Parts: sequence; structure tokens; C-alpha cells
Amino acid sequence: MTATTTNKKPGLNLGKLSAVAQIAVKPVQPADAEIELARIYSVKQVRKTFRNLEELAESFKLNGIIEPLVVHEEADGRYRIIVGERRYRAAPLAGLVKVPVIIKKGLTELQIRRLQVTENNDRDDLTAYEEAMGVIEDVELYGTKEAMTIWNRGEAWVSKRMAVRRYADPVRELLENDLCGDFEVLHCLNQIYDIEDTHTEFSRLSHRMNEGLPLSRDEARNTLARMKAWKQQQDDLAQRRIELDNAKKAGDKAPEKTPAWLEEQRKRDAERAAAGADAGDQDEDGGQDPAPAPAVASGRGQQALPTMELTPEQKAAAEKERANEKLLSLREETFEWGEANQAQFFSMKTHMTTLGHNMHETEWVLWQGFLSMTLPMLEGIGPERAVMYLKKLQGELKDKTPAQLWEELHPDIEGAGRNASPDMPEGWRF
Amino acid sequence: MKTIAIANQKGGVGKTTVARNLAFFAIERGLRVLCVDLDPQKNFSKTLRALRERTVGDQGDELQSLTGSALFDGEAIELQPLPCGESAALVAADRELVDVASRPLEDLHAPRAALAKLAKDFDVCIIDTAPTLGNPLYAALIAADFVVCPCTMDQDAIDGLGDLFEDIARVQQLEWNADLVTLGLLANRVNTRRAFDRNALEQLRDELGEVVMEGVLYDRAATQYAKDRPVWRVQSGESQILAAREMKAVCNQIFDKAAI
Ligand SMILES: Nc1ncnc2c1ncn2[C@@H]1O[C@H](COP(=O)(O)OP(=O)(O)OP(=O)(O)O)[C@@H](O)[C@H]1O
Ligand SMILES: [Mg+2]
Repeated sequence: MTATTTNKKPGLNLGKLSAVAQIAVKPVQPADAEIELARIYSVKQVRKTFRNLEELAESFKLNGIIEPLVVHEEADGRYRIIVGERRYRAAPLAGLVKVPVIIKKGLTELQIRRLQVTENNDRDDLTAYEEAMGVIEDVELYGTKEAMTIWNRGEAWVSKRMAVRRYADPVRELLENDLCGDFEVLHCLNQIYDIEDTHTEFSRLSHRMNEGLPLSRDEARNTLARMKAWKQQQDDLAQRRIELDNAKKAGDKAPEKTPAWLEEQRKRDAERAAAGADAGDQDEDGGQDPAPAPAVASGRGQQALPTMELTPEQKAAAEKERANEKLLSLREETFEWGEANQAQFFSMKTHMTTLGHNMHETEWVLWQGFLSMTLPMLEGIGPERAVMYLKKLQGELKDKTPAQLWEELHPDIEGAGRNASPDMPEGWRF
Repeated sequence: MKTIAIANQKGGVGKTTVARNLAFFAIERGLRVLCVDLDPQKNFSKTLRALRERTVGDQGDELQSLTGSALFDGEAIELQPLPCGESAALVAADRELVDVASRPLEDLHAPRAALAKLAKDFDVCIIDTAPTLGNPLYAALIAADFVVCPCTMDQDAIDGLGDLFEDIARVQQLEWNADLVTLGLLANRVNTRRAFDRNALEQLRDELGEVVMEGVLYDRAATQYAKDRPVWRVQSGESQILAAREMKAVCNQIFDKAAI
């Protein structure tokens, strides 16, 4: 609006716009009165940090306080701040002794709290940490239902903030230091922290955030999914080792017979692989603990052996069933690896950006990674078939992006996650 | 249900782009979203029909459903919005919307009444508007709780902002919809390599202060090509990650300000 601005940067004449826009954006509430600062006091509800008070004070010196504070008249004739604590603190720095206020009377504690939250929400005044602490305090004071009303949010929103209480300390510090205010990301980080005893991946991410590089939700989720998949693989390996050991112990007398305990273990195996496929949040402890397996194996294995007299048909059926389950779980694992590979490449790209890799270096790392992942696979498929597959894929990529093809192959089923091992469509031919 | 209108009488400033990303953002948050297309160009409708195609299997153009012009029947609306899967539904644009310009002023309150009838079934309503001032804009602003104004760093677009905010202020001051909240001006398609863009954005911030939303959308290929899905669900080149991040930040800010 000032002449200097217009002189410095010619071109846009925003004078009129500015005036009318201010009207449209803020139908300003008129102040009820001006009150001496000395008669106002504040009761801290939420742990708050007050940043840039000097800056605000400077603007008060120029324009005065444009937006009145909201206060509550107390029985002793003093005024308790409902909204505007920051302005209240900046006012004396600007040399003011009186501030404009809107006065409320006769409100209950709860009504005051509601007003406070609504106003602060409107103004975007709270950091994520302050918000979480506020929500926690409100749930403790008034219960979840009331907290939902106060904050005008749903139960999920509230419980995400309540979860902060259970965060590991280093995760909470990220929130507290305002390095990450996204509760989805924090939730992932907390799980990432828990998965590894060494917390290596977590340290890497938190170091990065300390450097000022943000972490997107997708990246956090992908990293978590990748780590869960890895953890699952480790557990599966351990499981298989136990199976092998036990098979040996069960003796060479009846090698084709499948003991009931093994049958059961395999079933659980397959179930677990299936549950892992949707990378849900519920399986946090599902893949954690391979310890109970040996107990089951040694305990029940010995009893089960003598009673097993299967007919050849039963044996064949069981064999088939087992193969079926195994194939299914292999296919599901393959799907998970696909997702993990993607996350892998996303992370590599991020790191290369951080490192400032040039085009050739970047291309090399990606190309080499691509080859490392695909070549063994192509060999596994069979070299001739591999060529055919690559040609077909190349054709399909002309009309669609990889993501679109993938979406079609693994449609997201409402509530059930993606279908990891889709059936062959009717009449499908290569 | 909270209703957000996306408005700017200038064409091609990103109204539909913001509307569609905001809609997907809401869907992904698990909210029930009502998408209202008041622009007879039907771009927003097309996006939702494509979503329906992916989820339900057809575009729904065979079905009888509530249209934009039918909202002017107010409480007397008979049809339902078109379900588009994943908790979204569409009030599709139709050609008859063209006639809104010549309706009497009192008719412009009807869509608000119509939407009020649907309010219990949805958490959020997003209205995409036509590039025009006057009646069609008023109808949208009367129906909305919040308005977001995307604007490109273009001399003509910026010159037009005065008229736009005047219309918004009129709706508030004449109490056609006194509670309408302006969430702000959203700088879109900013190209930081252009001095004009940098300068314009800086001046807008200087002069308008908080009116300019904190988040900015830069000119990104990925944003341009994401027409039937949100920009964070397309995979095209390196700008995609940035485009996605910027768009989500903006959606977040809008929802936060609207306390959704
Ligand atoms: N940030 C951006 N980066 C790149 N392209 C963009 C961006 N925002 C919008 N576009 C592109 O600009 C064009 C116009 O955008 P859009 O259709 O959203 O504008 P609109 O305001 O809805 O137009 P209309 O007034 O005609 O309805 C579209 O092709 C869109 O993809
Ligand atoms: Mg449009």
C-alpha cells in the first residue's frame, strides 16, 4: 500500500484490492472496550511457546492492536484471557498499557475452553505439540466425548493425539521441537523406532529431519512397510529353520508324513504372510515374536506322531492343500517385495538428492539398481520367457503408466487392502 | 457438512485442479464428500465420473441423478447425487447451468437449501464454480461456508481479484451469507524462474498479508496431468514428489482452517 513498495516493484497496483480483500477476509469484531494490561491475567492451559513476540510488538507500534483480545470477566473484577495470550505478552514490549478487548461473562470452565480452542484453531495459533498436549489435557479433564466437541473433531483425530503419550521419547522430541507435526508420520516413526532394537533407520530419519528435510507421509509409510516386510522375512526364515530342525528330529522313518503340528504351523505361516500383506497397523506384535514356536513344536510334536495313520487319499489331499497354501503365500510375498522395491527406489532417490548427485551418477545408481533387482528375476522366469515378458510389458507401457497397470492388477478392495494374488481372469491368455 | 467453494471469475486459474485434489484428499481421509460442479464445462464432473468408472464400473451417465441446475429447486429436490464409490458423490454439471445468470436474485439462495437437505449424509462439500462474476458466483458463495480463491501470477488474473473480493464482501455485507469465511487467495502455477511471478507473489504477500494463503502451488507438469486422480497418486517424473507435497500441504491448510 505504501509508496515505497510501489516504487520498488512497478507493475501491480494492489491498493484497492488490499482494502477490499481485508474486508472479505475478516469481518472484524468490534472491541467492547480498552482495558489496562494490569487488570488482565492469564491461566496457562496448554504448554505454549511464544515466538516472534518482538516482531508482533513492532507491528503494534505501527498499527496498534487491530484484533481485540477475548477476555472473561471474573468475580474479582479482573479479566482472564480466553484468546490472545500472544498479543497480551507482546503489548508491553510495544509500550502499550491498554489493549482492546471483547468481554465475555458468566461462562463455565468448559465453555471457556471451547471458545479458546475454536479461536486458536481458526487462527492456526498452536503448534502440533501444543495441540496434542491440549487434547490430552482435555481428555483427562473432560473425557473423550467432550474433547471431541471442544476440538470439533472425530474420535480418530483425538486418539491420534492421545497416542503421543505412548510415543518413545525420541519420537516425542521430534514433535516437541517442531521438526514434525504430522501425526500420521509420527505414528509411522514410532513404529519404525520400535521395530529395530538398534533404531538405525529411525536415527537416519530423525537426523535428516533435524537437518530440516521434511519426511512425507508416503515416505514414512513406505519405509515402515519395507521394514515390516523385512522383519517378516527374518521371522519366516527363523520359522523355516525350526521346521527343518524338527523335521530332522521327527526321524527319517516317516519322511512323507506331515505331522499335525507341522501342518498347523504351515497354516499359521500362510495366515501370517496373508496378514502381513496389507501392512496394516494391527500386526505390530504379530510378526515380532517367533519364540513360542519351538515350545509348540517339541511339546505337541511327540504326542501327535503315534496317532497318525493317514490313508493315501488323505495324504495326497493334505499335500495338495499344503502346496496351495505355500504358493499363495509365495505370491503374496512377491507382491510385498514389489512394494518394498518401490520404497527402496524412492529412498535412494531422496538420498541422491540430499547428496547432490549429478545426472549420470543418479542414472547409474538407478540403472544398476534396476538391473540388480530384475536380472536374477529374469533368470528365475527363464531367459526366453523373460524376453517375451519384457516385450509385452513394453507394449502395455505405451498406453498406461506402471502405477495404472499395477492398480489394475491389484485393485484396492474396500476395507480389505489390495488383492495381493489375483486369480486368473476368465479366458486370460498371454 | 462443511461446504467449501472454489472461486475466481478468471478462467484457467486452477479452480478445478484445486477442487479435484481437495476432493480426493477428503476421500483419503475417510470423509464422505459431496462434489458439486456448478460449471457447465463439466470438468470436475468428469473427474468424479472417472472415479466412478474405476470403482463402480461405469460413468453413471445412464442414471438419473441430481444435477447442478436442479439444486435451484431448493428444498424440492427429488433426485440424489450420483454415488462415485469410495464415499464420494457427485452433483454433476449440466448445460442448464448456463441459465443461472438470468435468474432473479432470490433464486440464488435455493442451492443452499438443497445442500442443507443433503448435509446429514456428508462431511464435506466441495463446489467448483464457473469462471464468471455475478449470479452463478453468488449462488455458490451463498451455499458455501468457506471460499478459496486460486489465482495465477498473471496480470489479468491479479487485476480481476478486486472484483472477486468485492463480490465476496457483498455476499457477506448484504447478509446473503454473513457467515461466509474467506480462507484466502491461493497462489497457483507460480513459476519461480520467472521474475514476474516472484515479484507478483512477493507484492501480493506484502499488500494482502494473511489474505494470501501460506501454501503455494508451483507450475508443475504432474499437477497439470493429474486430471482423474490426485497429484500424489500419479507417477510422472521428478516434479511429482514436489507437486504432491505442495498440493497436500495446501489441502491440509484448507482443511485445518475449515476445522475439517
Ligand atoms: N499448479 C499447476 N501446475 C501446472 N498446471 C496447472 C496447475 N494448476 C492448473 N494447471 C493446469 O491449468 C489448466 C487450467 O486449470 P483448471 O482447469 O484447474 O482451471 P479452472 O480455473 O478450473 O479453469 P476454468 O475457469 O476454465 O474452469 C489445466 O490444464 C490444469 O491442469
Ligand atoms: Mg474449471
